[in-house]
Amino acid sequence: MAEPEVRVRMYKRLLGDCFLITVRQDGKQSNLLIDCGVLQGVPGAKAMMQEVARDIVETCKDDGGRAVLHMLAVTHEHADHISGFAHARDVFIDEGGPLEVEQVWMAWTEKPDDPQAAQLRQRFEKSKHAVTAAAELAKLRMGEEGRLEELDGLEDFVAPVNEALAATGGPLTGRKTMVGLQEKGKTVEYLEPGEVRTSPGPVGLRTYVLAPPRKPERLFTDLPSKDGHETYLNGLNERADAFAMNLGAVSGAFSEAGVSSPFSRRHSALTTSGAQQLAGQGRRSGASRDAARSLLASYYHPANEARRIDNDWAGAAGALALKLDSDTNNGSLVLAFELGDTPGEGPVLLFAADAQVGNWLSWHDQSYPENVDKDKAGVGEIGKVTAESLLNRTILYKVGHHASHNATLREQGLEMMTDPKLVAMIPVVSAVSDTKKGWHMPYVPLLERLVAKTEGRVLRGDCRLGDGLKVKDGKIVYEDPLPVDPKYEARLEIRKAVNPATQKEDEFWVEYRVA
Amino acid sequence: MSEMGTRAEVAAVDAAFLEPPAYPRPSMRMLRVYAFDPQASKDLNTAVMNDAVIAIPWEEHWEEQLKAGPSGEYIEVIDHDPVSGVFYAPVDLNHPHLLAQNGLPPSEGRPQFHQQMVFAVAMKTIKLFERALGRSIIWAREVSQESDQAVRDRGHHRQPYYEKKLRIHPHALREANAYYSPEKTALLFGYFKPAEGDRSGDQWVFTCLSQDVVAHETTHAILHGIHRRSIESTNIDILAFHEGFADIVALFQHFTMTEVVAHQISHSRGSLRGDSLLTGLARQFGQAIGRKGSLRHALAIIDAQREADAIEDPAAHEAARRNLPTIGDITEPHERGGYLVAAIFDAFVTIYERRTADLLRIATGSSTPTGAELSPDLVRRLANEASKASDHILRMCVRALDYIPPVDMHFGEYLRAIITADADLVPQDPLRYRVAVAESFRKCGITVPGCMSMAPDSLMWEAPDLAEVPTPHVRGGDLFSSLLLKLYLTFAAYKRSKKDQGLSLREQNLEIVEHNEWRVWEWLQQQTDPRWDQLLGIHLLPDALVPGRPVLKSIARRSYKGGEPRPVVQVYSTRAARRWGPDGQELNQLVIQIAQKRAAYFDAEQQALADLGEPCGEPDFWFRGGSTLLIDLRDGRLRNVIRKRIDYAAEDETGRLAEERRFRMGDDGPLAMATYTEVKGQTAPVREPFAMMHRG
Repeated sequence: MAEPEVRVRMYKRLLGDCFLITVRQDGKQSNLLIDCGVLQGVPGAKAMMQEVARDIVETCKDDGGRAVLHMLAVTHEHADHISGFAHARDVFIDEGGPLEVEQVWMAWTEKPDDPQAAQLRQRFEKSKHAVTAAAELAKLRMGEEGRLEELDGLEDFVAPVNEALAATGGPLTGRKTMVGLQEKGKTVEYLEPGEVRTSPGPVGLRTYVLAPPRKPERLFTDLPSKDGHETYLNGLNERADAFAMNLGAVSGAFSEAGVSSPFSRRHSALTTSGAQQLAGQGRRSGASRDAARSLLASYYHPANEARRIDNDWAGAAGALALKLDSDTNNGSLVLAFELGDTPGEGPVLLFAADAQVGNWLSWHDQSYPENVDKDKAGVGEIGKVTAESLLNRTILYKVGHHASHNATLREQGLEMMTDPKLVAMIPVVSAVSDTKKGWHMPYVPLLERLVAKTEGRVLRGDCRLGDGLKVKDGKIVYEDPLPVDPKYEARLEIRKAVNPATQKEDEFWVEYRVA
Repeated sequence: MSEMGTRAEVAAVDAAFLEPPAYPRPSMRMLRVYAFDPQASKDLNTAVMNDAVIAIPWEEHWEEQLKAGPSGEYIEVIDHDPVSGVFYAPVDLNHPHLLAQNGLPPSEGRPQFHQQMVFAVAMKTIKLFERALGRSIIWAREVSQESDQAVRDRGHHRQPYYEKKLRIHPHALREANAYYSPEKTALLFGYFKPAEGDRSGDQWVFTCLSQDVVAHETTHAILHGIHRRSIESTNIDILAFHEGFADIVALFQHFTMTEVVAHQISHSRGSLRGDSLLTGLARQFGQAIGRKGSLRHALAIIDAQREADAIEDPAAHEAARRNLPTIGDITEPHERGGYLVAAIFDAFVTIYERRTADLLRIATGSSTPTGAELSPDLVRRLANEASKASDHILRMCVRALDYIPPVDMHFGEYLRAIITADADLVPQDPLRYRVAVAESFRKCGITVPGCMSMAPDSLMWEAPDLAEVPTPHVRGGDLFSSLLLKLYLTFAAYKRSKKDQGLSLREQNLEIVEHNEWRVWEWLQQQTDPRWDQLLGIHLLPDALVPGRPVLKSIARRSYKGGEPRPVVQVYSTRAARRWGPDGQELNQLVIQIAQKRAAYFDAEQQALADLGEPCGEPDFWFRGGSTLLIDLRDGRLRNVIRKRIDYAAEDETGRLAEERRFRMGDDGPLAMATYTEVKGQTAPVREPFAMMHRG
């Protein structure tokens, strides 16, 4: 029996993850997909994702023309990981579509009857409700264009803030997408940290489930370990509830009446827009009511713009949003695929999703397999493999969170990846993440370290081979590619196609033949 | 019968009749407020004393006159409620109806009363500081590069680094929160619905109606005005000091209301210990967010110690003592600040007890409260003693602000500042205030590294070593004599050089401050004696003039008027302070804060390269050093210099730089992901540092 051939394909042009792994052996083929998404609000997103979906269907077709995904892993509920499923719902979700999905893999956090998962979801919903209320109120106060700087990060990641938009026919919310995928799969597997499984399909790969952790202090990075997690959970729930209650947003519904002033009507005659008009007049007229008007004039004077307090009330929602975002990232499903026959010896492909600190640290909390059904595990010795040994043997690293500053652990992470054959894949579009959003993706010092550790074998979603890897004066240099090792290049396949967003031909995907 | 005189005479008599000679100007403006918060008015026990009146000085003719808002010389209250989308009409405190009844009567349902109360409490706090500091309060403005550029793009001048008026927004937020915003030079107050289980029946809780909360937030603003870098968290104590100090001011304001103090002392039978209205902060707020008592209790830490000490069984006592949290375990700023509050407040109570022991002995035969009811006369005397002692202690605390380093202060250094400032003004200390303060700090576990002992004498800042003081320019003069000649130290000197622009005296004072800062800076640029570096703790002179000094290229160099490039130095503040001690002692001092920044990196090797001048990109943070100089205004003699050196070697693990690096990175083992987990942008000041502490 020949060794299986394993290829990992990264769809490019996306500030979002979409990875297709194909495993071939003796004429058989397994198709494994991890995530399919792009950041919200990117022009042409729908067309791009539909093209990706078509390409996936083509790749998965067997000789009889039947397209099967043997595994569809969804790492976490953020738009940049799942929006593609909604954009191409005819392929991934709707019944009778061109693609069959054998097994859906999700983290235990999505398990319907799990009490801890239910608690997490409730917390998520409460925060989201509070944040939604803030966003809605901003619209009410500033008009439809109203956007809160404080919530920018969140609106981009969490699928449509407004639930009402998600009515039939409209775009799917993140939650509905997750449920739709659960229904599409013939079976759904909910994975626990420490499990070792064999990936589904005719050719299996030994698969280690590193995360998300069950331990709350790992799930919520900033939780001081000496405090109980319960208080923390309640604390955040209460904060979110209180915030929404104070705004007068009850169970999602948000009415003008809900945000009226606490004082009686006669005190509330002067609306904000009225005040703005008065402020303009105050400066011209010398009327007797100048004193009161000059206050407004001072408030609205352009030189004092930075001193206005129009949006400070939303700061608390911003804090909730931030926490919500990082907690969701920390709940990422992290998988490591191991090649070869003997557990604990072969090369490893590591898919870190968007794991943040607590998630990374938790990999080391257990050895593999941990407390699982031996039959299912299909591995000889219990607990033989450690996270450190998996990291030591990693030859492909899907860089966490588009190579942001806080999603690759150093000492217990990247520095443990010591295999000289290491290759890194970064699904990023810096024109969006860095230039437009100012998110520092990729984060320069991390990129430098990755380039050093891989000797230049870093594949970026937004660059041609070898480009965008040099750093000068703290900035990334473009249009000056690093030389590419021909042996490594021989293992790469690049597909070009017309980009539906720009109507120009560019690189559609890159595929690396791991083995 | 006589005829009226000429027509002119008639007119004069007529005018005299119609316009009597000017009425005397009132000295005070009386404004009604809640002594505590609206909740105290709903409790029969406390309702009687909750209606308080605050007297603030009537505007002087050289000050801006008070207008609707209220908006005056120091403060403008702008009542924008952005969540409700409205502006509330500003209160006009000069309306005859309001003048005749000491302002609006307390009312939760009338936003104009809210405006009146925040104004009154904030003004009272400001006046308290001015009296203790011996100079006027000015507001700082933290300007972000970004917004500064935006202002320039629109054709305005650069943003000012001082503001004339602090803005107060009584209804800016809808959450259980209130904060000082350094970027907006504004106080933002929130209002909120009480948590479930709150039985007060309140629909809304307004933080702007709590005297404690208003005094606390105003103190943040004042402190930032005095110490520009006091909001930059460079060590564990910085933000904790801000919180603790603000709590101290709020607490001691309770004792300015003698009625309230008498009521409470009568209630407690003469004791000031225990959680009461006097020793607790923000009771309504605390209960509305689900606490049993007040938001914070001044003596919680000391009480816990006493409780443990009261256990007789030695083993149980040992165990109880061991279980007490110590300051070393506490990092959250409010909680850590609690140790400072406990130390100061315990010193105050000790002094009160010492001052009243004789009275109690005369009246009851015991020097400690016996629990028996006290006569109203005795209560009044005790209340007076409490007010007096609290005034003394609070002024000690405020004066000490001139004796702390301009950057990176620790609690222990604040203790040294209190002791030194007090000894300077009040050389004799018959009631041993200083011993009481030092003792209370020790009890709370606040240590002073580098001091022989906790005796006041060892705690004093050392006088400058004559060997390290440069030779003065002027023969026979003192070190700073020639500098004093260049400064405006009186209004007369300033007036001679200026046209009257209709500015208030305080605005002119702002100009004087900026002028003096500039002059001090210029004067320093002319110095050439290498001992200056040693004295100021920074690199002042051009490299060539100080041969032995390590060259730190991480400190920027700039040349002034075509001279040799010199390390860049900043003068944060130059203020003259005139103070009087209790026995009429006068102290006239010039307080100068000088600082310098150095590019700092988390990585020691990178730091070494940067110090050598290799390009290392944006620094991970700015490391600051500098000194506070206290100069005698009579002769220019240097009284004290309080330093934080800039040039500790990077590899020196005990140095300040290494310590700050550890603090900024967090020393939490694996979490110290070092170089690629810290965003470079973090060198910018955190937005709304005080808001985030509450929001988590």
